[in-house]
Amino acid sequence: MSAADLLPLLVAVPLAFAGLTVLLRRHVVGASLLVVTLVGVLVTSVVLIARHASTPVLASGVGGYPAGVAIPFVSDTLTALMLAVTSLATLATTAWLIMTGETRYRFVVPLVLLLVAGVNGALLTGDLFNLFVFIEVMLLPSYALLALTGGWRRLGVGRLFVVVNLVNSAVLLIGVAFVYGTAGTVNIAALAGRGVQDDRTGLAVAMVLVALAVKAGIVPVHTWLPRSYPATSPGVMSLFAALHTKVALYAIYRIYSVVYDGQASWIGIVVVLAAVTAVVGAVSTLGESTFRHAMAYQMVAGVGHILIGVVVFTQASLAGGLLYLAHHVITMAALLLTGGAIEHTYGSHRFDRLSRLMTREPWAATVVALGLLSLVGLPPTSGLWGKLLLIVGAAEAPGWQAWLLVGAIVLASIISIIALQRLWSEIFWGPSMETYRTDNARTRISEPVPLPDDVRIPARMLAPGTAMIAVSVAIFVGIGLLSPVVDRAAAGLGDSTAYVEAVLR
Amino acid sequence: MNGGVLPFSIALLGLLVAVTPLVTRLLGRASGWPLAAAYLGVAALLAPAAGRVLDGEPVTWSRAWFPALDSSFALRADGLGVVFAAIALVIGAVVLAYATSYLGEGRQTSFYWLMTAFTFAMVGLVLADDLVLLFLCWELTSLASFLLIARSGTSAEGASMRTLLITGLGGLFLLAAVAAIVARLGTTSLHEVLDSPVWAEDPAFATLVAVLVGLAAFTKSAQVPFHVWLPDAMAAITPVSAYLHAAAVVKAGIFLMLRFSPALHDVVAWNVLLVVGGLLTALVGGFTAIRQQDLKKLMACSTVSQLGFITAAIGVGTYHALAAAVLHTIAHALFKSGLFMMVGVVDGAAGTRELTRIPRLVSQMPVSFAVMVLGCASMAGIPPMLGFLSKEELLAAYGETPGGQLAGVVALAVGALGAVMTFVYCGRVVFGSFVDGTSDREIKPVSPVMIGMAALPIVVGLPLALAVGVLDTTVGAATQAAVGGPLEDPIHLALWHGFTLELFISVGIIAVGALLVANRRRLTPFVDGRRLAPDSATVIGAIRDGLARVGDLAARGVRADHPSRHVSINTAAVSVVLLGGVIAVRDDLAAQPLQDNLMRPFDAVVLVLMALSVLGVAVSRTRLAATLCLSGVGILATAQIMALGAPDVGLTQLLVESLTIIVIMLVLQKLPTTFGNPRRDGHSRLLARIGLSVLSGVAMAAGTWALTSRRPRSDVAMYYLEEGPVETEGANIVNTILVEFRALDTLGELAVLAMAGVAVVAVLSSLRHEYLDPPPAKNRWYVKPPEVTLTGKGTTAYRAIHRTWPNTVPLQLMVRFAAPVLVVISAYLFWRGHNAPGGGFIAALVGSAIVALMYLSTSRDRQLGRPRLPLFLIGGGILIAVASGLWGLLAKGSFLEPLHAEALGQHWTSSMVFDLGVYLGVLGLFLMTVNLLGTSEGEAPAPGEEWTRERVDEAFEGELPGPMDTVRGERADDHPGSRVGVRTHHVSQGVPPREVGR
Repeated sequence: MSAADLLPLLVAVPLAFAGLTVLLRRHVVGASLLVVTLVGVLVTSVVLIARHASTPVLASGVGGYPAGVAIPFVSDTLTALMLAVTSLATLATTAWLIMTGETRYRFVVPLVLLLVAGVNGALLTGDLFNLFVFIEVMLLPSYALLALTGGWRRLGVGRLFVVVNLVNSAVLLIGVAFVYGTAGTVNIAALAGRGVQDDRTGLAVAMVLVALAVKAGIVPVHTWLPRSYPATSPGVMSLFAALHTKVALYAIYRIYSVVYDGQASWIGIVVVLAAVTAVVGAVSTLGESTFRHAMAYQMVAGVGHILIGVVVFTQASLAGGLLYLAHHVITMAALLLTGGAIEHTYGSHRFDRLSRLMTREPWAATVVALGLLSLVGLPPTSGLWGKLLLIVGAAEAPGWQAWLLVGAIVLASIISIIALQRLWSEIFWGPSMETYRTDNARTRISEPVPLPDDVRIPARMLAPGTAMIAVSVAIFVGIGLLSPVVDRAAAGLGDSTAYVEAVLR
Repeated sequence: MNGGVLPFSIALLGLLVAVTPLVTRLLGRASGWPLAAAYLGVAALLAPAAGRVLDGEPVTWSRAWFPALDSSFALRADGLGVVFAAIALVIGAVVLAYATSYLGEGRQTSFYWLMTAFTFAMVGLVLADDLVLLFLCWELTSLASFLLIARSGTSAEGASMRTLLITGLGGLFLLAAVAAIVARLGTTSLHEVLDSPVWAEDPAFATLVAVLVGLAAFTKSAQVPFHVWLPDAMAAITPVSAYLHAAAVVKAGIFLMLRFSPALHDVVAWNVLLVVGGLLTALVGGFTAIRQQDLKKLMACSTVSQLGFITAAIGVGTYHALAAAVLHTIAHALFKSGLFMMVGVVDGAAGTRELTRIPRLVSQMPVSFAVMVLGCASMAGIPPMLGFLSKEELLAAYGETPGGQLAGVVALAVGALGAVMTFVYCGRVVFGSFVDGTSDREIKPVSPVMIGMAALPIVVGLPLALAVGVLDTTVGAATQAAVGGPLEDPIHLALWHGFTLELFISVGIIAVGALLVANRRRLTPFVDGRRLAPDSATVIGAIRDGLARVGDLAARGVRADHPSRHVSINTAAVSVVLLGGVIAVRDDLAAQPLQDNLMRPFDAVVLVLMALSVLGVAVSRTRLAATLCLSGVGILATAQIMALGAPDVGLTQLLVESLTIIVIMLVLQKLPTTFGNPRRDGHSRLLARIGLSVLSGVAMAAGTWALTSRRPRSDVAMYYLEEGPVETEGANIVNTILVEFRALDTLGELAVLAMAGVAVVAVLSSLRHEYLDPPPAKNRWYVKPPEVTLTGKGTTAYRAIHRTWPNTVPLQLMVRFAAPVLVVISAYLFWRGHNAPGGGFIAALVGSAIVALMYLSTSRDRQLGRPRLPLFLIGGGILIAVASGLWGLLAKGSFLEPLHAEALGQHWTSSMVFDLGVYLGVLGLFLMTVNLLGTSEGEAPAPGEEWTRERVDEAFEGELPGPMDTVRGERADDHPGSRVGVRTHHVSQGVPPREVGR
């Protein structure tokens, strides 16, 4: 039994705990198991990152069948980095859910554990059909989590989320079937280079990519995302923001680099889409007037940015895209959790119902301020490095693409600055707040009541967001430590020979 | 040489930032003194290195830093770096000392902290020898200036936002320039970049970078059209303004232009942009300064104009011009910092900055008057001040403007006009604030520290001008760095340099200026402070509103909760890609023809029937009809699969279909009987939908035709067929794939399926009883059961209609016989799965059929089994399946690797344990669904029957007396005042539910 054979435990353990916590009614046990699982995943991923410095790829066929037949579980630096980032954000979100009591809603703990199992599986698997399965494993708990918490609209929006994702899963499955139909295998490593050599396989895999694009929220198929996410609770939205789109983007990075060697003939179209996504996300932020709707569109903008890394496909652009991805997960979690704490205390995330929180909540204001700086790429946050590396990478694109992509990043940034300045002015500056909305156990909706002076966000609710923004600042300071990891991850994508050999060995 | 002193100095400044909060805690506003001393200490520390730099030997230091970009933390002190670092530190020290008296009592932590951070960033910027580091420090200065303005209270909020926006835009320009350079040259080392031959070889690239860098510098240095933020930034307190205008942010822009000058000074775009932009700025700044009523705003506009002069000189790009730019930068730093602090003095004395309201101060504050006169004399360019000398040099520089003699003459003329304006507004400052006042406001005493510190930089300018030769080496070294090579001839500065053209122009400027100042009262109507152009708030506000409208448009288009709009977009996208792709690959299809024997008559029958069924689903008005048509699709699919010869898959499909229909029926009883009317949406919508359906259908058909059935059996399939039976000792290939080869897929799908039951409980738990089972009065879809009046209560007819249980008796009888048979069949199917059609999934579906029969056979909607049984089946199923996988891992070394053994004359495999997990999970899901959805409706259930919400609660809690009617299963009155959700716990009508461990 080698270390690679232990990779499936990253799925098996959360899955087993999900089964176990269904049976246990004691909340403390469930919450502890969840936290222990996430800490375990985080530690494992850090160990993996360290190990990949000497062994670039760990691969093992699940079930011990020959390579090509077995479902491979593969970890390289990119996988480990993704595991680390997603588990970190999930951990912070879980802490927040525990602080606000949302983990006490029935079965939140097993559902989150199942989500974690799905995420880990989707990140580790080297098989397209298995990827589909694990995306389903991610989606099922998401259907429930979305409709479980949040305002009254969550149910209607839950239907939207379920229908869109079910249809999209069908597309993904059809795409996988087409891949098997043309190539005779759905093993990603076995498909290496086939996307370029055989146009039919290329088309079949493109179907898979389209389905993933819908999941990731790329313009023009992004519409469902900013519509559905804000309807749930801030905690669940933070969970989704860190996991769903990012797993889809990871899969796009992986599949595009292995199957097409990063050189599909149609990539020009995606270059345009990436640029459009970044700008549309930024400009749509201005059209929204609640904190989380604005954040949802910032997610769309972020997706556009991250996509730039893979469409340009140079070492610098891949590293930039991955760094941006990591940065975006962490920053978004910080913002959503802190904004969520505000929402939880003051009963709204609408601009017109919040005001002058700068004086009332200086701590939360500081965290949000740093988060917004990070989103627009200003120091002292991880956003600066993400944007810098990405734009350097984008400038390496050939011909018009470089102009378009750099222009899109600059335009999106400036529009985002304007939009987020508005958000800040509305929520943290302006006249003092007079009323707020308390929560109502029966209806969740309540009328505004005068805001007493002693209402403040409890420190424990601010802690998770603070921790995440601290990570962002730490990345800013310690970029020298993270940068080699991102570099290695990008190198593994740029030249996937090691990946393919390890899987098919 | 090794410049360890550089990182040490930077680190010291960083340390200063870190300890400032502590210092202010101890010393309050007096913290300015030790901090100023620390600045001077750092300056002294750098002095030896600076000495070597001035001797022509750059000091460098570097460490690897950011491998992804091959960027290093590289510092390099050259002439420019030394000059600007000295300005930042010395002026900073003076301003901090001034602030000790200017600031009110209190800790003033944010001011001091931001000032030290600001200096830190500024020194880092000027010493950076790496593009990444340069960019980082550049952004830090933007941020620091924004925060320094933003901390000044509510009135400064808008101004700080505009500052951030404009400097942020500049940061993006610089970022784009950095990206272009790095992508082109592959290095981030600044001096390597500047030394590169590419600037001469590739004019297009050089032009691009020149424009980007120029625009970036324009935003920082407040050049037209980005000048609007600087007067805005006046909202900040005076020490901040003094530092901002004299030493820091705006000088960062000047620094950037000088820094890139070696590479770009021959680029035409650079010359044009900077000379035109700079001179225009000088005019605009001077013009607005003359018209200002507010002393501080006037001073701000004067900064704009002075920076314009410098920028234009840098744009000229000859070495004389660059020397002039450096000299004027030094002179400007001295007089402008002093003058700004003097504005603070006047403000403090008069209590106002409005020129019309300031009383006559000259008699009461002669010293201040003298300082103000000297400062303004320097700015206006009156000998023997340093400002005179630098202005002479600037004018000489404009004469050298590239592009022919005419360009030089025009530039010189415009420069002279700007200088006249400078003279006039300097006159306004002196006379307006000290002499012309008529107001009789009280004059308050001003701290001598403030006057002293304001005087210091101004007075220093006087001897410096007389002995300007001491600046020769400094200006020379800086110019050398800005030229990027050795100088043609050494810089020699002197107050008197003979009768030159510039001298005559200067005399003319002073004469005209003096005339205008003497007649200043006639200019009064012109000086109304009104803006001639819309101010920045209006412009930026208009841009923002315009963008917001676009944003609203973009967001509004997709603001729909109904899934159809979103799904339509996605489906259309998929169809277009697929159809376009098939058209693109059509040439490859001939090479790979379809396999034989694909078409059979039976397929056509199924196709037609299935198409009709699908059409039926689409056009049905009632949900029941749609469900029936849907089941038709499923059954036809089963038939198709059977015809293809896959009995295992077909059996599965059939069972899944039947059970799905039962579940749908359970749901249907809670839903309105008909769908909404599609015609309600109008004809065009309907046509669009039909069109989209046809498009996606055609696309999928084309995809299937092009991408499937065109190759022989795959290697994987051959392996399954040939090696499968050997490897697994099972003859049923479907089963062995499911539970052995791809058991991981099955595990995932098992988790999905089983947890779906949990998900249903979770979601229903979040809904209150009245929404789950609304009383008929509140349920607009409630259909009253038909009244059937029958006489004779005991009659068979009556019982048949009104009593349910007699109707169910036959079914119950049947269950009594059928259930054991089904149990046996289920067990048998489970058992034989490995070798023949069957297996855990099919067996579980048969088991579920027992559940379904039992449910249908009860006369009341009764819960089957103990309330928590489904949960145990679900959780247990998952646990068993995972456990079998772990068994494989421990025993054979791979997760889910099956173990085989022969015992009792039978072949045993651990995958049967896995299959058991599947069995339990699927059964649990079905039981859960039937229990939760199969409840009564109506206002009051019959005795023994339960509400949906009660079932939901019981599925989690065990037996309860009634529904726990809360949104989140918590009680609100438990902790009055605290927010619900913080301490969530479940409530059942006042009685806390039994919970393990409580």
